Amino acid sequence: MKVSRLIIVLTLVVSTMTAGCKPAKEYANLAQAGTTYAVAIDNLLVATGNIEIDATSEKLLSNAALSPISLKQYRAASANDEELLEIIAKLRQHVKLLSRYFGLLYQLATSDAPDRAATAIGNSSSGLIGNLNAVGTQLRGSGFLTGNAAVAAGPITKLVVSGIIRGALRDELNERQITIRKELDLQERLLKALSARIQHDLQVTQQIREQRLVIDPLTTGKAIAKPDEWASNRRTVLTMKLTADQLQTAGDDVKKLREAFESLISGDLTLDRVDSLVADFDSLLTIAEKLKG
Amino acid sequence: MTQDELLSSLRDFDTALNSAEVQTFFAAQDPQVKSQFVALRLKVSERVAQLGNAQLQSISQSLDQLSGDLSAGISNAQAELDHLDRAIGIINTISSVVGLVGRVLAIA
Repeated sequence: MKVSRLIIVLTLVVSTMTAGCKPAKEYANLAQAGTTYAVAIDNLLVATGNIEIDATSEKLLSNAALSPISLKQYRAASANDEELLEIIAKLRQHVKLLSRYFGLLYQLATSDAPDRAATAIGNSSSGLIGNLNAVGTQLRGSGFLTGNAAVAAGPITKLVVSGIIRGALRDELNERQITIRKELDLQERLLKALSARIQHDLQVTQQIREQRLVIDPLTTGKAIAKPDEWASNRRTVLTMKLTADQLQTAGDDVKKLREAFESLISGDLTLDRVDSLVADFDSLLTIAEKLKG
Repeated sequence: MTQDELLSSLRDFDTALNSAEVQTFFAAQDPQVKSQFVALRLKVSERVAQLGNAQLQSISQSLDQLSGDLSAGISNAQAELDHLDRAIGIINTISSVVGLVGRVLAIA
């Protein structure tokens, strides 16, 4: 009887501990959105470097077609590309840190520790309770914890551990909220900057390649040597900017992540909203992978 | 005009300078004009790249300032995971010891 009362009290304590905590699923999805974003931005950073180098190469070729380029002019163009690659390397280091942070939050939110703890505690015939019961029976002829009490021990342990995890997640995000706000604000600026740069570079590359591979061979007055290759080049050139155009709304995705984070802190975040965010970042990742090639 | 607006305008100018129409026009000019145009076009591209790099460099420096606190968050989350694993490990160890005691008592 005393044990049954103890279980009721424990259940109340656990309920009180977990009240006000968001379900771990919402933390998990927000962390997943953050992890996906980090992978997407890393791909975009790599793509930015490659696309910029290609654009510079096309510009050099286009200029050289009009007038010889000096070594000094070539070095000046390459120096900017090299500087960009160095900045990108630094940015990627930071993105790795961000990815690790969100990854660990996801690991914590989806931890199987509650189940493992419940199994370790066990019931009348397994785990710690089972073994204690066996010893109790040997020593005094009765188990340590029997009946409903033993059956409830595992589930209560699971609830307690789940509550501990949610508390840890909530405390971590509360402690880090100013940093995360600043981080997401800067990520929004970064994504917009990369998006504008990629779009410009691709537009210039498209124009120059169209001239070099499509217009020039067509307007020389001679028959095109490889018509199939020319047609294929034309299709590639005309569609190359379509993927980059999809980046135009990407900055808004980070804004939504920031708003979702604010809602999580204030306790207003809904699962639907965070699910939609995960889908947005999956799309961003697809675009980034296409651009990275 | 902000630096971002200047960069945006210069990019538009750079795009216009690299259009097929401009290229075709200058291809028909004499070598001196072509050379002057190439020098100008390369200079514009250089300025666009420099401004773009400065923009990313500024963001990178601001992000660097947050790295320390982010690392602290990583240590904290890792510590929580380790703490949970240790707690479950301790329960399992106690359970094994109690199980052994039970077997010893059964033999005795």
